[in-house]
Amino acid sequence: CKKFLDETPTSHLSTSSYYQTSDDAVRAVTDAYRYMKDQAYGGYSPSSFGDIMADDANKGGGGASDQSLIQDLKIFVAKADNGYVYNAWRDNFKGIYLANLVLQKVPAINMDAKLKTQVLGEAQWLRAYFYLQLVRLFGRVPLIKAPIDNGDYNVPQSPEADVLAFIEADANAAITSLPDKSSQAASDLGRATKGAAQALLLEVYMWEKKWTQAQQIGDAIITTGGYSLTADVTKNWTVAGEFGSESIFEVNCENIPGKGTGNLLDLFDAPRNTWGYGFVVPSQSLVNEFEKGDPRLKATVITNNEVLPDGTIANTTVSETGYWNMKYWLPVNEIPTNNGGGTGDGPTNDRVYQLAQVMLWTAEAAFHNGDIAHATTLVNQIRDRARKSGGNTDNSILPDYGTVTLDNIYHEMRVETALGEHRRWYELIRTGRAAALLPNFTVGKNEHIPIPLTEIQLSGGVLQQNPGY
Amino acid sequence: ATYAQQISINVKETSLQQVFKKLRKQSGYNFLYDSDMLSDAHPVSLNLNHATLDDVLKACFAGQPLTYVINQNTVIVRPRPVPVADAAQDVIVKGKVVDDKGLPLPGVSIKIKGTNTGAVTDLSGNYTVKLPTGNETLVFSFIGYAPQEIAVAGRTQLDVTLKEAQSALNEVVVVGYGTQRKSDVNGAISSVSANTLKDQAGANLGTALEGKTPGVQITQNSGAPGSTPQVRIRGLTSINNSDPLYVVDGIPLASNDINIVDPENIESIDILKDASAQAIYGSRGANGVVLVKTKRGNKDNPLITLSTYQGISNVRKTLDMLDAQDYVKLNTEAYNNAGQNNPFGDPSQYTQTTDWQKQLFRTGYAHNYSVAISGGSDKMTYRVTGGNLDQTGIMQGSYYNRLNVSNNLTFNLKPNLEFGESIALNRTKNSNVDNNGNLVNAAFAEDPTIPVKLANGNYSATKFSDIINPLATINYLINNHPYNVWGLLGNIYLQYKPIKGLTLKTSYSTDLKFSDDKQFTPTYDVAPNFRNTNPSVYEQKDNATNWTWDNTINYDFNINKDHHFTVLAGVSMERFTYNYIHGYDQGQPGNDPYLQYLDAGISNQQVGGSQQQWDLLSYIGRLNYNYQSKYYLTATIRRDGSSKFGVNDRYGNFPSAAVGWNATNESFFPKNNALTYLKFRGSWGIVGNQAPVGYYDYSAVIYNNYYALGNPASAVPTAEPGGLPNPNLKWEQDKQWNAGFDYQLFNGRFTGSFDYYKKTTKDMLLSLNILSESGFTQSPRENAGSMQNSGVEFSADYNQQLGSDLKINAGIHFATIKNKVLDLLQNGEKIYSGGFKPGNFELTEVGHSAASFYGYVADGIFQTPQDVTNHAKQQTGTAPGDIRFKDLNGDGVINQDDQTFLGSPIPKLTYGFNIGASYKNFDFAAYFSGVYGNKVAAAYEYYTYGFFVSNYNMQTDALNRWTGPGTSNFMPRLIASDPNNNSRPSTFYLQSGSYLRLQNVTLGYTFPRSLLTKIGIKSIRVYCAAQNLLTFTKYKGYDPEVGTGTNGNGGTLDLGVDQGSYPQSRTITAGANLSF
Repeated sequence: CKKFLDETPTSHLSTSSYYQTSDDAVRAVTDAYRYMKDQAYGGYSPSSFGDIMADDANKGGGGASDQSLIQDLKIFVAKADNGYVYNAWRDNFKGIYLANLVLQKVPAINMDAKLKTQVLGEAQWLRAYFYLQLVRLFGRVPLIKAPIDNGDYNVPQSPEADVLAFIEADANAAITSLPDKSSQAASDLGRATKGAAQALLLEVYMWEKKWTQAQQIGDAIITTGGYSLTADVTKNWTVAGEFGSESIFEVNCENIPGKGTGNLLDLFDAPRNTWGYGFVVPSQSLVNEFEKGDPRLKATVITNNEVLPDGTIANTTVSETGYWNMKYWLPVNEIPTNNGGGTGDGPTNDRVYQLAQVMLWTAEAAFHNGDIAHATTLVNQIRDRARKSGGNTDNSILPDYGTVTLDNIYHEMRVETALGEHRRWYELIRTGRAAALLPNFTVGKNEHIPIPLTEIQLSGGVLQQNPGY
Repeated sequence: ATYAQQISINVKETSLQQVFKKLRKQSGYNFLYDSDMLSDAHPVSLNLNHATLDDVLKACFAGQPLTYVINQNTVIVRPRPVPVADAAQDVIVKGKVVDDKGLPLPGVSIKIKGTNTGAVTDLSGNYTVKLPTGNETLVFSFIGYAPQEIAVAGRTQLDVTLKEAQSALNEVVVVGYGTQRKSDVNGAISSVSANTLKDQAGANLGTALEGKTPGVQITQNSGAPGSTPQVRIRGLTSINNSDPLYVVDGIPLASNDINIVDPENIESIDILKDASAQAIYGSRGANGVVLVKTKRGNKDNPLITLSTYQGISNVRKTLDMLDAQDYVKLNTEAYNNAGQNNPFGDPSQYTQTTDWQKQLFRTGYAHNYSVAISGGSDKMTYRVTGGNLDQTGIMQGSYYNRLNVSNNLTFNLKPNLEFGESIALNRTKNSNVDNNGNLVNAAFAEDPTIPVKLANGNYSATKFSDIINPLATINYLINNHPYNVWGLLGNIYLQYKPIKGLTLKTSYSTDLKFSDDKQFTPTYDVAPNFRNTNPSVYEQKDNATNWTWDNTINYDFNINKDHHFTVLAGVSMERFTYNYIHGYDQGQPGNDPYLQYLDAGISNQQVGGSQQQWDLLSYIGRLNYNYQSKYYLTATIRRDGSSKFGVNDRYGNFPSAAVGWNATNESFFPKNNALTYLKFRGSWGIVGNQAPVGYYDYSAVIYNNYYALGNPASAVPTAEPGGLPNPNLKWEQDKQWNAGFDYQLFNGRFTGSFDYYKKTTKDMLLSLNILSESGFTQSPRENAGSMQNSGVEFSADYNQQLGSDLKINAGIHFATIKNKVLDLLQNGEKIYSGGFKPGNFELTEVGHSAASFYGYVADGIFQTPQDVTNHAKQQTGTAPGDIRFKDLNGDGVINQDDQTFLGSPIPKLTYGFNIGASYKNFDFAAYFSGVYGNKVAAAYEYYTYGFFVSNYNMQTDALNRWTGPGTSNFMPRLIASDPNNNSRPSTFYLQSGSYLRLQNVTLGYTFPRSLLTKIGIKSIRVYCAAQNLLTFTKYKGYDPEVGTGTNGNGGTLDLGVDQGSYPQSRTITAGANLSF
C-alpha cells in the first residue's frame, strides 16, 4: 500500500525527476539564453537602456503616452516603481537562477565529460553575462551563487567590486571550459564559445578600466580567435549577415511557427507606418555623428523618401525624430506572418559581441596603455573596411587617422555598432561622458537606475536603495 | 418466518435485549422497544427446543414488568399495565386505535391521565378501559407515534387515529461510515428529510435546502436552469475553497457535483457541522460534509409510484430603463458635458424603443416525470427508478435536461450475510448560458433605439456603443454550445455478521463523470466587434473516473447492562483520475448542423490533453460509548495519506472527541416536567481541507521552451522549471470547538437544538510575492494564513395534533456568523477580489472579515465650484455634479490612501422559518428564508448609471441626475470620460443585502383511501406550489441573493458583487403523485 500514494506529475517532468541525462543538461542550459533576448516591453529590454536612455535613440512609438515609463527613464525622472526597472532586475536574476540551477544539478549527471565541461562553461558564461547587466545598471546587487532552496531569498547586496570579481571569475572559468569557434558545430551557432567568454571578460575589464588586462585579452581574440572583419560592414546587420566571420556571439532568433524563438525587436523597432510599432528611433545626435558619406549611416538609419533594399520607399514623417531604425528593419518578404507563430517572431539575431567592437575596445585599452600606434592601426582597420562597404567607391571618405585620439575611438565605436549592440549607455557611463551629453543627467545619481521598489519592500529594508532615489 | 416457526434457544442469565437479538435472527421478527424500558427487566434463563415463538416469548416475559404484542413481523414490547384497582368502576369505555392509514395498532398504551392505570390495545387495535367516572382524560401513547390526550366526556365508544411522531429522537441519522440514533449523537448534525425537499420544480439539492437548516447558507450564483448554488456550512472556512464534501450512500463524490443525484430519490440528508461529526472524513471534512441517503427497496408488496410536475417560471423583477428619446437625450448631455460632439443627430428621429429585458426574458417551463418501483421479500429487496426533467429557463436560449435511471438491490443471502448493489445513471444537458458573456448587462446597456432584428431578418447592432445585441449572442454562440454530462454512481457491498454485534463490511464504489463541452462558432456579421468569418469548432471531453474501496468492522456490545460500546475501525482506499482531451479547428464549410464537427474543419488544427491522478489511503476509527444512556463519549480519528501532499507531510491525523450528557435520564431529573428531553453536547477536533491542494502542487514542473540554434536556425527544446517545489505542502487545517444542547418539550411537541461553535482555520494555502532574486516572483503555495469563524445556531420546531383532523407545525432557525482573518503570513499582505470593471471591490486583510468591501466613501455631490475647491483635491477634471469622496486621512488629496473597509458581504445572521398544517386531506407548507446584516455591491450600476458612457442605456434613475446646484445630492452629473472617476469602487454602489423570502409554498390534497382502494390505487396526492413568490428587501437590483458570480472570476472570495447574473425566477408548479 505504500506505493499506492506515489503519483508522478503528468504531462510535464518535475524538477525532482529532471536533470538526469546529458540531454536534460543541455536543455537546461540552453533555456537561459532566452533571457538574453530583448523582450520589449514585457520584460528586460536592452535597447530601452542601451539606446534610448543614452543619446542614440528616442523612444518613438505611438506618442508620448505609448510606453511612457521608458520616456521617464530617458529624461531621468524614473522612480523606483518603474516597471522596466523591475523587469531588468527580474529577468536578469531569472537568467542567473537558470545558470545556477545548471551549475548545481549538472555536475552530478553521468554524462560525456567534454559535453559536461561545455555545459558548465556555458552556464558560467551566462551567469557572468547576466551579472554584468545587473552590476552596470544597478550597481550593488545581491550575489546569488546557487539556487536558493531553503526560502532564504533575502540576500543583501554585495559591493560592485565583489560582483565584478565574481563575473571575472566566471568568465575566466568559461574561457577554459568553452570550445573555440573553430571547434563549434554549425548546429550549435547561438551558444557561447571561448571567444564569447574572452569578449565578455574584455568588456568587464573595460568597465573596470583594467587597461593592461583588457588589451591583452583583446589582442588574444584578434590574433588567435579565428575571427576576421567581413568585407562589407553594412551587410553585417542583415539577416543574411548573421554568424559572419566577425561574429563572436549572437542571440540566435528565428521565425519558427509556434516555438517562440523569434525576436520581438523586429516588430517593435520596424517603421510604424509599415508593420511595426516604430520604437527606438535614431536620434538627430546619432545621425549627426556620422561623417559625410559614411556607408554605415544608411545601414543604421532610415531617412524620409529613401529607397530601401526591398524597393519600397520610406516614409518617416510619423517618426518622433523623422528617422526609422535600420538595424531591425526587414524586407517585405522576411516579415513574419501570422502563420501560427505570430508577428512578434522576427528573424533578426541580437548581436552581442562582434570583432569590430572588440578591436575598438582593444584600441581604447592600448591608447590608455600608451600604445597609440596599435590603437591607431586597429581603428584605421575599421575605417578602411567601412570605406569599402555599401558599394562605396569614393576613397576620400573616412580617411585614416594619423594618430588616433580618445575621441576618435569613441566616435568610431558609436557609428560602428549604434542601435545594434545596445551598448551606448554603458559606454557613456564607463567613460564618464554621460553628464556632458545627456540632458537632465545628475552626477552621483543617474549612473544607476533605482533598485525596484517592490524588491526593497519585500526585502523589508535589507536591499538598500541607490543614492538619489 | 412464520408464527409457528420452531425456535431453539439456550441462554443463562441473559438480558432480554440479547435474547431478542437471538430471536430476531432465528425468527426474522423485529423487536420494537425502548431500551430504557428494558432497564427494569430481569435477565432470563431459557432452554427450549423446537418451540414456537409465542412459547419462547411467554417464557421470556414471565414475571417481567413488561408484556408484548405481535403485529405482523414485529414484536412490540411495552410496560405491563398495572392492574386496575377494583374500586367502584362505573364506566366502561371501548374503542379502536388505528394509524393514519387506517390499520389497527396493537399494543397502544391507554392511561387514565394522572394515574398509572389503563389498558393496552389487542391485536385488532381494540381496547377496553374501566373508568371511575367517565369524565377522565385518556392518554394514548405508542412508540413512534405522537401521543394524544382525549377527554372522555361521558362517551363509551372512543376510536382514535394515532399519527406517526415527528419527534426525531429515535430517528436514525447517517453519520460517516454508519448510522446512529439521533439521541446518541454528540456532534452537531442537521438532518433534512425528503418530505422537506419535495414539491420544488426543477430544484437541485442545494436549492431545495435553502433556508431549511441553521448554519447552512445556500446562495444562488445564477438562476439558470441546472446551475449549482454556493453552499457554505458554518461560513467561509478557507479563502481558497469552502465547498462541502458530498457523500452519497457512502461514496464521497470526487466531482463534488451533487446534480448527479435525482432529488426524487433522496430519502434523507444529514449535514455534518462540527469536528466530532466531520473528523471521520479527515482531510476533506473541514468545509462540512453533506451525507445523502437515497431510497432503497423494502419488503412490502410492490409499490409503484408515478410523479409528475409541470412548472411555469417568469422573471421576478426587471429594472426600469430609459426609452429611446431619453437615451439619446441623456447620452447627448454626457457628450456635451465632456465637450465632445453628439453622435446621434436629431433626437426626434428616434421614435421606437426596444425593451431589451423584455426581449431577453420569456416564460420558462419545467416538465418532470418520474417512476419508481420498489418491493421485495425476506430474501431480496429492489428499487428501480427513472426520471426525466425538461426545463427551459426564463432567459432565451437557456435550458436544462436531466435523465436519470437507477436501481438498487439488496440480497439477504443468509441470515447473517447481506449483499447489495446500486447503480445510478444520469445525463444532463444544458445551455452553458452563464459562460458566454454577460447577457443581462448587455440587455441593460443595449441601445434602445434599435430593433432586435432588422427588416431583412439580420440581427441589428448599435452604431453608438460596443454592446453586442444579446439576442444575437444567444443565437450564434449559446445555441451552438451545449454542455453534456454523463454520470454513473455505482456500488456493491457485502456485509457479514459472524457473531452478535459484529459487522464486517466491504464496499466498492465508483463515481464516473464524463462531460462534453462543444462550441461551434458559425459565421456571422452583426457588428464590427461581433463578426466571425471563419467557422470553428472547439470541443473538450473530460473523464473523471474514481473509485473507493472501504472495509470496515463495526462491533456493538455491552459490558454489564450499563456500558454500551460501538467501535468502528476501517481502512479506505480512493483513487481519483481525471483526464481530458480537446481539439480545435477552423474552416467548417458553412453553418450546416451536420458539419459542425472537428473532422469538417480544414485549418489551424490544435489538440491538447492530459491526465491527472491522486490517491487517498485512510485509516478510520471511532468509539461510541454511553453509560446508561446518560453519559456519552465519542472519539474519532482518521489518518489520511494523500498523494497530493508533499513527501514530507504525506500523512495527517485528524482526531476529535465529544461528550454528551442526557440530563433527562438522570434519576434526579424531575419527571412529569414540561422538559422531556435535554442533552448537552461538547466537542473538539481537528479536520482538514485538501480541496485547495492541486494534484501535484508539491512539485515544480519543467516546461518546454525553445531556443533557435544553427544557421539556418532550428528550434531546439529547452527546459525551465515553472516554479519552486514545496515538499512540505499539506492540507489546510481546521480546529473546531462546539458546545450545544438538544431539547424536547411537552413530549416532543417542541424540539430543537442550540450550538455555539468556534473554528480556526490554520495553514491556509497562499502563494506569496517573493524577491525575484529567487528566480521567481511567486513562492510555491505555502501553508500560511489563518482565519476564524464563530457563531451560534438555534432551531425550534413545534408540531401538534389538534383534534383528529388538524395538525399544525412550525419551525424557526437562525445562525450567526463572524468571520475574521487572523494571519496571512506576510504583514500587510492584501488579497484583492470582487473585481468589476473599475477595479477590485473586495479586500482580504488581517483583522477584517474575508473579502470585505473596500473602497472610497461617497459623500454626496459637489454642488458649486466652491464645494470643489474647498474639498480635498480629487482629480484634475473634478467639477460640480461629481461625487465627493471623503478625505479619510485628511491629507487634502483623495487618493488610494482614502479607501477603507465598507462592510462585509457575509451576512451577520441567516435564518429561516416554516409553517405547515394538514386538515383532513389537505396539506399546506410554507418556507421562508432570509439573511441580515450583509452588504451587496450593485456593480451592474456601473453600466446603468451612465458612468461608463459609451452610449450605454441607463436606468430611469439617471433622469434624477445632477444638472445644477440643488438638483441632486446622489446621482452625479452625466459626463462622458468620467474625469472625476465617479465610477471607482465606493459606497455609491453598496446597498443592504438583507432580505426575507417566501422560498416555497405548497398546497396539496390527498384523495381519500375509500375512493381509491376500489380501483386498486394506494394513494393520489395533487399539489400546487410556488417558489420565490415574495421577497422583502430594500435592494434595488434584480435579487439581493448574490453568489460568487458567474461572469467574473467566480472565486471563493468574489462574494456579493452583483454583476448582473442570470436572475432567479418565480415559479408556479402543479404536480401529482400516484402510487399503487
